[in-house]
Amino acid sequence: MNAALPVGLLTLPLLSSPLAYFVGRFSGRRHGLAQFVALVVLLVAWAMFVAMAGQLAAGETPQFEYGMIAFRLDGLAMYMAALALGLSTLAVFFARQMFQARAGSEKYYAALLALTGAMIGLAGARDLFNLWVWFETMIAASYLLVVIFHDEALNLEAGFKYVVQSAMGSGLVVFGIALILLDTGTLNLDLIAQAAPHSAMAAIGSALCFIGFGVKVAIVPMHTWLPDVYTQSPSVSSAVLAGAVSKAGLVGLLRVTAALSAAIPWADLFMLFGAASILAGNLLAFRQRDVKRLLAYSSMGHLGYVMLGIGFGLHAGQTAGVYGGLFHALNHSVMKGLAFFSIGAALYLLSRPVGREHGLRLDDLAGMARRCPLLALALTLALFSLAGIPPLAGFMSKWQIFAAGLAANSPWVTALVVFAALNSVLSLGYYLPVVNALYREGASEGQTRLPLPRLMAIPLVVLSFLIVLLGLWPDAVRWLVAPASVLGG
Amino acid sequence: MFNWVVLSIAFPLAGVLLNLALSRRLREPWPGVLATIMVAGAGIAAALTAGALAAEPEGSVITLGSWIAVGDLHVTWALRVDLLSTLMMLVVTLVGLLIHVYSIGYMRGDARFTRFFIYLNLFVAAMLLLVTADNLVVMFVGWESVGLCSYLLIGFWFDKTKGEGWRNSTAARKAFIVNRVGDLGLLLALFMIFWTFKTLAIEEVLEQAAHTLELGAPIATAMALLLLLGVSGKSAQLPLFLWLPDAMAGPTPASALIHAATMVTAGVYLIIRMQALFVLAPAAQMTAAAVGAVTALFGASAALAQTDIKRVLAFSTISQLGFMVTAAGIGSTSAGLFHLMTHACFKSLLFLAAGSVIHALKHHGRQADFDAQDMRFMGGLWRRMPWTFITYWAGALALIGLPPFSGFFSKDEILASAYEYHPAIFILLFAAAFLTALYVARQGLLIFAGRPRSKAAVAAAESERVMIWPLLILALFSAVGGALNLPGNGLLAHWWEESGLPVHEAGFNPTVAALAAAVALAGVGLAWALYGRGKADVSHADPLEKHLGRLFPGIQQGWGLDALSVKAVVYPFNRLGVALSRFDLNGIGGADRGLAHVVGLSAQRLSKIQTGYLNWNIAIMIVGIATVLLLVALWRTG
Repeated sequence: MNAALPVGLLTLPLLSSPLAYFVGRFSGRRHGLAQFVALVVLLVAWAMFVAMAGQLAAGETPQFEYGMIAFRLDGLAMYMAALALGLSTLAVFFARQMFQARAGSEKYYAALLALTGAMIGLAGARDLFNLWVWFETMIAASYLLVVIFHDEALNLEAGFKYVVQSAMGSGLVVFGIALILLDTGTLNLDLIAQAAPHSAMAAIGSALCFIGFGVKVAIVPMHTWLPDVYTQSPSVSSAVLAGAVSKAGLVGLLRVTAALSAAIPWADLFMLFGAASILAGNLLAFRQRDVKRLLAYSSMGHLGYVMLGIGFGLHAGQTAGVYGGLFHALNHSVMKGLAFFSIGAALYLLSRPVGREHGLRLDDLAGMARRCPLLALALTLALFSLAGIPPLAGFMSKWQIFAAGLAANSPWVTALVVFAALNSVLSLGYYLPVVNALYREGASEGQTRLPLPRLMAIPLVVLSFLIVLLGLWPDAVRWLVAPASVLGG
Repeated sequence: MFNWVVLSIAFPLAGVLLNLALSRRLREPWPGVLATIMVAGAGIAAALTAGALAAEPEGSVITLGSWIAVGDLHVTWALRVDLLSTLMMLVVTLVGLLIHVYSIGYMRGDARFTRFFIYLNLFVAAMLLLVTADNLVVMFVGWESVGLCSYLLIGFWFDKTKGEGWRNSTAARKAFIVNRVGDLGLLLALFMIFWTFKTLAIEEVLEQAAHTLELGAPIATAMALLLLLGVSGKSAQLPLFLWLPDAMAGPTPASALIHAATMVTAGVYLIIRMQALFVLAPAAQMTAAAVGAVTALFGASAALAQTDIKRVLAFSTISQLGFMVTAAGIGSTSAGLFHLMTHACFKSLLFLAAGSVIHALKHHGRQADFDAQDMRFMGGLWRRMPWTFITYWAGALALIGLPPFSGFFSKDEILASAYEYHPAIFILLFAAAFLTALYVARQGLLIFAGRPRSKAAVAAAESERVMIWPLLILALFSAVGGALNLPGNGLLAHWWEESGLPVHEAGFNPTVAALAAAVALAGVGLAWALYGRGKADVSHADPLEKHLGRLFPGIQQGWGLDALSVKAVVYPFNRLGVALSRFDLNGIGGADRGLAHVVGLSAQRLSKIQTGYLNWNIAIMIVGIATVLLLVALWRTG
């Protein structure tokens, strides 16, 4: 009885993925049916999620075991499931108008459902092998989101880089897992955690996992795939990649971190590479004129803040830092999701064909506030929140990270907090020009008279509302984030 | 069932969102109707809250959730329901509702009709948050939000032609900047309170203050004085009153709601709310009383010589706020609140009646130098605008303080308390009461008596019904509002004692009451003698000027304090700004540009690495792998 819900949540999106494809392929009604199927599946998944959230709140962890395979939806897994379901649902709303029923876009819904299932699987896997299998599945499914139109050269280029570098990361993870298996003789995360290995082999294995998952998180210098992929994918895919897939990499990394906590100095690695990512992301974004590329680099910076917060938490052995980091990761999903959805809407209004989305310059956004106030407001909210302007969501979570760092009472950590805070100010230097462009007088060329379709407006409104809500009432997601920040639980 | 209070704030907020969302669908007058319904909803919720309070007079705190929790600082979204907050809510929603109705008529045909109602609704929501907040930070959110609405509404007609738009936006900026000075005081007070008590929850602050601080403790005095600085900004007391006369640039309904009835009384509310702190600081109480009394006299004297119909009322508001601040400062809180409530009714009535007159004249002004707000162009309107005339005088008599109008009872309580507190304060207020009668009667006679002094006044006609009904209702309240706290039965004072709020009442003093009524009659009589025959048009000097001589232009300029502030503060500040900007350009600017150059250059260098070639990408990744492995190796050996 207890196993039905977790099995359902895991398998429903995966099994219905082909259904969405075939329905879309053969119904011939401009893929509306595929969108409908995907939406229904995701809503059912949401219902199961809510039921399990209730169980979790009652102190009972939904799980099932089948032979050696264990699947457990603990706090962190539920957190990841919420992000995956959230971004996918909004992307389903967004996708159809964005693709304007172009041939082959029904595949998008299939890939999206498969990706959602894979991310939930990754989050709930209790042994390293399954973790890796789901990781690999996720990469494959997300690859489809990047190259949804195989006749667009730039899509293909981005997809090629994505798959090669992801495969490299994935390979490193396999090596790492193999070494850990050699050392401990088990793949089960709980058993590894009990053994608490600290041999050289476990250390190298952990380090390889850090790098391998770090490719997905886009930690500097494993980030090199990210600018091209976020820029040249359809914006609705960029939203899912930045909002959910990068967090899935982080969840995988946190699983290894929790199990092998004694193997390597995780806290130092998180803090060091977090700080490096913040700086590199900021500097690379600074002179960017291409808005999507700018957002891509800003993602690097924000994952850097997340790593820094988790590092603070690991360093001091308290959950406040991890909470701040995961809260910021959640906010980043909301903010960056909103930013990419807004960019997608802007491209739609500019009538840029899908698949040729790169090169949206700052000037193209000029006068957008007059053209479509809702879109301009949504993007402005997202950017202000990304820059950490109170009282929006991004400020609250950054603040919690900084507060956790200051609570550690160590000069080095305090220096890192100051460094991160200065970088946060620096980031205004590239966010504000976008806002300025939006509200500048005089429309850019090529803006059509098309109204913004309602289905596209839904994600914008929902996410804008969340940004304001989480700024004023950050405890609204405590039920979700707090259980997740107990690592190893 | 105190949860109604949440709904009360939610309604106008929903009105803001709905009007924003539907701004392209709804045509005039529907945005106004929608906004009005939302305020009515807020009013009903406030009334239900009051009903719940009648059953449980001690009230309660509703906690909605945590906002900020870092270290010792815990800020919660908490709302307080007690007698004070509930009465304030009732005043805000009642006056707000009537002004919303009135505005539907007043703003007819305005290009930004919807925007006006969005601002009004936002204001009502912010004001309700201010008066119900149980945490000083949340209260500060309301405090600043009403300030924002005030700014937006003063500068509402920022695009008028012939330099008028520029004047309007300058007035808005002035209000905003002058209020910053007061807000600095308030913020410092908040910091000091947090530093001392480690909490910002109002209830806890007051309790701790009462238990840990001694009478006259310097820290209590400092807090109270800093709060008083905030009060003098928001409630336009000396020396920060400067912004209020200029704030009349906004649409008249906004002036009535924000700059007469509600927002400007926030300072008085703050003193009453933080009374337990003031009680501990007799020096601050004395200062508040002195500031209030001097402001009352100052405002009344300046109102005497104004020719602009709204500026008279602006200075009158400053003066009346002085009465309230004095009352709240010397501890007779229920008298202060009583006057706040009656004043909210009669002053918004006077503003709306003035608005009705302006509205009637505005559309007929063809003369070159005609000004629809200049009373010298009016006269004889009693026959042309009978309803406005009657309701205006109901408000005027309340303001003058003639029995049985409401202002008589509320002002009398303040005078009686002042009489007990200190003779100097009493004499100042008493003189102000005389001048009040004089300037109000002068205004009433200039507008309505005699013959029309311009073509526009000849052509003027009564305003439409949607504007008259609110006037009638407010006139009713102004006339009989005194019943709330009649000497003898003292309904308000009774509630006050029941609710456990700190109070110090002077009883009814027949001598003071008789004196006040006599002096009010004397003021009206003098005004009749001077202006009864209505000989004050543009070409003649004001009758009062003959008697006051050179004093007249002086009081007309508000005793020159505005000009003084420009000379003493604005001008030196500008000079300092120029000097600093030179230093900024050459000194800091150099360093700044250097830094920007470094950031830019490193950004450029770094982006060269990001070529997009896959081989290169992977090479960089390998560098990363090597780094991590090296770090791990170092850690294990070291």
